[in-house]
Amino acid sequence: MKTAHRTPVADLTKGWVSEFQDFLETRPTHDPSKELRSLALSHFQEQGMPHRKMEAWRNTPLTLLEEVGLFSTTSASKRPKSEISEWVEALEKPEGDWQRLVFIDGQIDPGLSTLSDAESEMEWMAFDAALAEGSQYAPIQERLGQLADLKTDALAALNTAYMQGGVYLRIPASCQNERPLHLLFVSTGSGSLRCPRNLVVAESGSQSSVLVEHTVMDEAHDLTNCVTELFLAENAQLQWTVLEHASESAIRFSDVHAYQARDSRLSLQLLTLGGRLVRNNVHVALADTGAEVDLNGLFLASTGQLVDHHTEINHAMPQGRSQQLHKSVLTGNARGVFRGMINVSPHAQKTNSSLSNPNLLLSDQARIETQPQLEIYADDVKCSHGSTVGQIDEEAIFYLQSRGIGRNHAKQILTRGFINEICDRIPNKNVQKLAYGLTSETLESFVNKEETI
Amino acid sequence: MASDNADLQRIADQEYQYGFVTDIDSDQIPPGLNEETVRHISAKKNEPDWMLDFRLKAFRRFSEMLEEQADPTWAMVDYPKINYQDIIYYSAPKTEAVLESLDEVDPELLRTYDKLGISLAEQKRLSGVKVAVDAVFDSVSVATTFKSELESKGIIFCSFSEAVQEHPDLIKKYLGSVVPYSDNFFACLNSAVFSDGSFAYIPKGVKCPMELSTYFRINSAGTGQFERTLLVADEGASVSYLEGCTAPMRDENQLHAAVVELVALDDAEIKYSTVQNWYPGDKNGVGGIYNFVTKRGACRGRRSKISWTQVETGSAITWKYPSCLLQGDESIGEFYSVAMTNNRQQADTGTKMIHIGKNTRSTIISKGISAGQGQQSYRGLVKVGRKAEGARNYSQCDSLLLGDQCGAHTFPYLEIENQASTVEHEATTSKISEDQLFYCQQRGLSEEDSISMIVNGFCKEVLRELPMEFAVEAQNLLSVSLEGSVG
Repeated sequence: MKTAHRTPVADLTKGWVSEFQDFLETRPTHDPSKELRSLALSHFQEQGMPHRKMEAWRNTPLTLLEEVGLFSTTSASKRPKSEISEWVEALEKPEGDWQRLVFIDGQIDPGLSTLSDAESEMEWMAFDAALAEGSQYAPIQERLGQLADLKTDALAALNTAYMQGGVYLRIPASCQNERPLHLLFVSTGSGSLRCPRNLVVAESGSQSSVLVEHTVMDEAHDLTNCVTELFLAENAQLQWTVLEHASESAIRFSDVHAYQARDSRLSLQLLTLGGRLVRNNVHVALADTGAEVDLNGLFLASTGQLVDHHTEINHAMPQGRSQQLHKSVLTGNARGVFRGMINVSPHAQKTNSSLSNPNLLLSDQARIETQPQLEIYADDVKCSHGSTVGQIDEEAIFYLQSRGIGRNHAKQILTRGFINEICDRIPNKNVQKLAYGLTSETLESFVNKEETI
Repeated sequence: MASDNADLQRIADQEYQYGFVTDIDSDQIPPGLNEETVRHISAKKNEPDWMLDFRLKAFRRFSEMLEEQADPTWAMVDYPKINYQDIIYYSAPKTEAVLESLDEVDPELLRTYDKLGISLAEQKRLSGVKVAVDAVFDSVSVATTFKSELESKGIIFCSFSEAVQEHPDLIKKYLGSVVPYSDNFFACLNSAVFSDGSFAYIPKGVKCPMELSTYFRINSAGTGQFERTLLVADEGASVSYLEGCTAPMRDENQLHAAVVELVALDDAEIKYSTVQNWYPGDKNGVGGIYNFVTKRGACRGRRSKISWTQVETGSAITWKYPSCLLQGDESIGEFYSVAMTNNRQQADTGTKMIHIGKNTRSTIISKGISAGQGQQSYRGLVKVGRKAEGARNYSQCDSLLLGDQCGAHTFPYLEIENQASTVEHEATTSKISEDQLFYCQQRGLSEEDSISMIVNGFCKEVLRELPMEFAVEAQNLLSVSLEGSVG
């Protein structure tokens, strides 16, 4: 652990601001996004990094960043390309027929990606290429930054200034979920700041399924600050599953914004299985009548980790439905934070919204701070939230022990059951299977480390 | 239709029945807040130096806070900035000399309390139920009933000023021990300028034979009320305490910033009930009391118990979070609340349960009712410390919305640092179902009565925690507050 040298957060901010001109020069001369980038940087500079005096960050100290040191915005990977390719090839992937886009440190790797040529399928473009090609910029410009607010969200501003990597995805109405898409982001550990940006437009009546996987090679110290904007047109259906299994040293910030038009349906799953400091924000705007969202989250954390999930659902119009289940399992001295806001505006009559947040603490040192919140301005609504914190039921352990199962194994079975409820909600069966495997691995690593499970 | 309107008008006119003003000479100091004001209040009360020091320390801290603009803005309430120099910090009915008995109390004052339904004559209220009352009028306590009967049991129940003179050791020991003078903006202001309040001490092993009660009345215009209540239950003692309040109808907003401190030692039990009915302002949100109150109880001893019950129907703005510090092992904290906001009332209320000792338990039941353009928030914290093994909490927050312009919000905070604890929180928000209404109306009840009945049912879990005579009052209050919100 590099504790001897600390870089104050303010210095990190300064570093990112001062590196910006150099970064701009690496962009193609006719990059039309330069103006937006400069604007974003000035907003970032104005706000600085979030701090604990801010209500949304009161339980999430960014001082952890200080221990890791400076993240450069430009440094390249030190690893040989062949090593990276081998590592990616060996990575366990979901079964079935997938389109796959692989990003290494934010740059797309065509060699590792497998793409489709069927016309009905999603149209994608690496975000950078789309930006650089002036002709593609117009449709992007129309949507980009519509949901992520530069003025109030410093991390979104930082991302916009440095956005690189990620995908621009247009899902046409003809797409009826023939082949799911797998976006695989790999960090190789160059001690750098990465700002991938995804922009997804699901056109009216389309159906699609996307798996976004973020992973890190070995003990890589990287800071990823990702922003995703999802636009769902009328009747569009989108399954968006985010799977993060980073090493214990990686730091991740992520913002997912979704905008849902009339009768659209979003199913969003967020699983965090690693990382030293992880902050995930999900904002969903149910902007028109009858929009529905299913939002489920899970995080598993052990010693030295802090995982923070924030969700916010805005019911703006009548007859919206939102359903949320968020769970966490914490062991060692892990710290968990959850905040789930449901906002029902005066027009959103007949809203049906629920949120449940059970948390499982497996050790004396683990801590959880949870805040389910309701803000309701309409009267004809059904809204509820619930939150529990507890440990594994001794009676249940005893029941299993009395049937000849060892204590540790019994605890594992019960924890497994607790987690499965989230995995079961992933709509794509192959992703579900992958999630079962990955969560089991994480649980096993807990056992090896703490013996508390 | 015409008769309907007349009915509604009648109801609107009778909304607040305690809005009269008592015409009585009062001894006031000029408005404004400075060190002189603090010294002046202290001198008026003939206070010893240690008391003045406490006030001055608080005043200095408050001045700093004012400069830092540290008045709390995090609550979901909206009001113009208060000018603390415009408030009269001390107002007392004029008296010639120290009162020896009730007979010497100004008859005008006694009539005021009679009108409020609080009899200061030592007679039995209801059948066989005795309540000892400390009546606080503007800045001072005017009368305390049943004192001698309580004294025979060793119970001290008197005004705060009297306690400072007669029982300085107890005050020194406990004042500020639960709510330190620098605790928060309004508690700090209170610590500097508090004028009176009630003090009660229940000695070891004594069960208080009657309900103790304080009745607060704001009368003078332009004044703020800053009272302080300190309640100590020694080992094995138990007491039930009631608090009620009213104020005249005025177009101005008046500030009420009180502090209540409770201390429960080993095996002691305190039940603290409040029916808050300050003037809520008219239907356009003009006038009304700002009720910014700090209430906290410390369960210091093993197996001690503190139970808060509150019915909040009045005040333009309510900002209060009765809390329990569960320090002793196996101590218990409870919070039962009904908050009702109608017209343009705003309430941000809830509780804090801080589990410090082992096997501590807490229960939170909060019922919010919003009507008209009322805005209501439940804001609560459940914290389980590292050493609080076996802690158990259950919270339930339900909101009922009547009307499409009101709001109900829930902001619970759960901070758990101990795995051997169980914490549950649930909240729901809904409106009265058409089916329920139809069922009642079909059986001949008017719409208004039906709603009133359903609301009372919704609050039943809390109302049944109230002492009997208060429960009746609370039910009536809920019906009155709801009037005019239907249709």
